[in-house]
Parts: sequence; C-alpha cells; structure tokens
Amino acid sequence: MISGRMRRRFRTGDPEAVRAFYEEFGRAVFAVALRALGDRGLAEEALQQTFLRAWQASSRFDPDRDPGPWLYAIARRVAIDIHRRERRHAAVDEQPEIAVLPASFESTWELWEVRLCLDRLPAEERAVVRAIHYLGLTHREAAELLSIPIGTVKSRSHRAHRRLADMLSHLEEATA
Amino acid sequence: MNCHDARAARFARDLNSEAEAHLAACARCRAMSEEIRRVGDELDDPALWEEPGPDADSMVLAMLGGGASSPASRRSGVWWMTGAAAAVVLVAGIGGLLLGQRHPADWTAVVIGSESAPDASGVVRGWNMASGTRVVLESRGLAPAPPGHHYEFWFIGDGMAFSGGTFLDPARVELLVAVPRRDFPTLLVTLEPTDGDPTPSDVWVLASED
Repeated sequence: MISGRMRRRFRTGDPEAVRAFYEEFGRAVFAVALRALGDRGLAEEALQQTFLRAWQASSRFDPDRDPGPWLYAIARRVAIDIHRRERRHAAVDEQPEIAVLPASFESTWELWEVRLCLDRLPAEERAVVRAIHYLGLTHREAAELLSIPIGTVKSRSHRAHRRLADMLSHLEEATA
Repeated sequence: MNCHDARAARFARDLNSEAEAHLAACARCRAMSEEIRRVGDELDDPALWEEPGPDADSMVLAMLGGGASSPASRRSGVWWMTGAAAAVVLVAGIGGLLLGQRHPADWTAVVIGSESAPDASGVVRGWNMASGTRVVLESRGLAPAPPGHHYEFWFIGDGMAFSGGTFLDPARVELLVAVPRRDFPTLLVTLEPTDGDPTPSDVWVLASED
C-alpha cells in the first residue's frame, strides 16, 4: 500500500515515489488495458501513457485520497483514446465511427480491484491462486507444479481466497 | 460459516454444502451475488494474470526518472554543423498528424533536464517511416516558451544537427522529421530566441541519455 508520505512525495514528482506507484499499480493498469484493448502491444503503450500522464498531472494529485481510483480513471481514459485512434485508422471511409465503447471496457473496475488484491497477496499464496485460476490446475496438479504438499496447496488456497474476500468486501459497501 | 468464508469458497471454486447454504440464505450475500459471481469470473480471466514484457517495465521505469544523469556536461556550445538544407519538417499540435499511428513506437528515449531546466524531463517516442521519422515528445517541468522565444527539437549525430521543428508548449508535441533516426542517436530540445539563426542555441533544456 502507498503510504501518505509517499503520496505527498508523488505530488512533487519525486521519481522514487512515482516508481512506487508503478510497482503498486502498474500490473493493474496493464490488466485493464489488455482487457479493454485485447492487444499486448497496445496495452503496453497504454501502460506507458498512463504513467506518463499521471506523472505530468502529479501536481494536481490529492495526496489525502486513495490514488487507485485516480490512476484507474487515467488508465481507462488512455485505453479509450487508443481504442478510438485504432478505430479511426481502421475505419472504412464510408462507415461512420461508432461512438459506443465495446463490451471489453465494461467491468474493468472489478478487474482493477481484483488485480490489486492479487498483487497484495503473499507470493506463495498468489502462486497457488495463479495455478488454480490461470493454469486451471487441480490442487494435486498445483502441488506437483509448485513442489509442495497438497495439504499446503489447500491451506494456502483457503487463506488466499479468504484474504481476497476480505479485501474485496468494500465492493459490498459500494453496492449497498 | 460467515460471509467471507462462504465467498472465499465460491472464489476458490470449492463450494461445500455449508457455503452454498450460507450464500443462499444470507441477505447480505444474496444482495452481493452478482458482484461475487463477477469477482469469481475475473479470477479465471487470463487478462488478469498477464504481465507486461520486461521491455515495457524497464521503459516505464526509465521514463519515470530512475537513475537518469544530468546532461550538463554535454553543454559545450555549438559543436556541430546544422543539417544542410534542413530537414523538411512538419509540426502538428495535439491530435494532428500522428492520429493515424497504429502501432507501439519503434523506439522510445528518455530525455532529461539540463542545468537550465533541472526539473524537466520527458519521453520521446518514434515511428520509423520510409520518408523519415514520426516523433511524439511529452515532457513535464517545462513552462511554455516565454515571449520572443520558442522550443526546437533536434536530431543530432556525427556533428550534424537536424531541426525537428519548433513549438511553444512542450507538454506534448507531435513532429514529422524527414530524416531517419538511426543516424542521429542524440535527441535535444533547445530554447531558441526568435532570431532566425538556424543553428541550435546554447540553451539546452532536454537531452537524451548517451
């Protein structure tokens, strides 16, 4: 988590603080961009653009507020700009540009939140969650992959998913 | 079993009868059922787990100011010849010429502030074209040029300097330079008096790293 002191340093454009922001939020920015744009190269461009814009706008950042929603808004805006640029280039002259964003832009907030939670898990728990969800492995297969007992896989999986449920509980407040 | 335990079981795709019963009976969990389902689905989405490539990481971190050194030592006056017949240069504002660029940049370079602009820094992205180079400069820490002055972007190499165009606001500028980047490894932004002199001034504000 980004400390209040580091937020204040970010506001001054301190390179160390900006790097801390990248380490905290860079993966989530990339995930949102990749979901929205569906292309790794464009997602990496969006990643660079997002942090460049954030860096340029750092003097307007409010250090008393959570930087996550602020960075998410920048990331989404950058992805929209790149999407529209790509559409303009690909559009046939006779076809008007479609103003509606594709479905890939929906639910990116949940994706952002889940990715941040994953990045805050202990590495050994994240590895288990990755094996189960990303690689689609059973507990036994995950145990073989990670060279740990199956009981350890189960306990780490339980702890990790419990942490995720705890961390994501604020979605409940947002929904209420 | 409480709400978080039941949701954790759902996320883990490890629902037992007790967890299922809780999710069905608990008013709070029922109200959250759509969010719980979506979070569970997110965990299975490959986009969630993908990582940017190492080049993207290193480029962003370099761009964000890690380990850059001052270019002040290179400020040794005009040591080059300006490009004969200067490059044919087109300059466009935001949203101008480069809206058609489709792909990630062919190259990216970090530019850092000199003694005359120690708080300035930026990044230059370039697209190699048959007819030259498309360039986007984005910077921070530089005010718009004062009256009677403008900024000028340069490609520099082997004692030659080609102007990439002039501009007043350096926050974001797009340029089309009619020479290839490969022969001009150094990028430079100067603050120029409006005096018609075609050579770079001594006032360097941004320069690429060696």
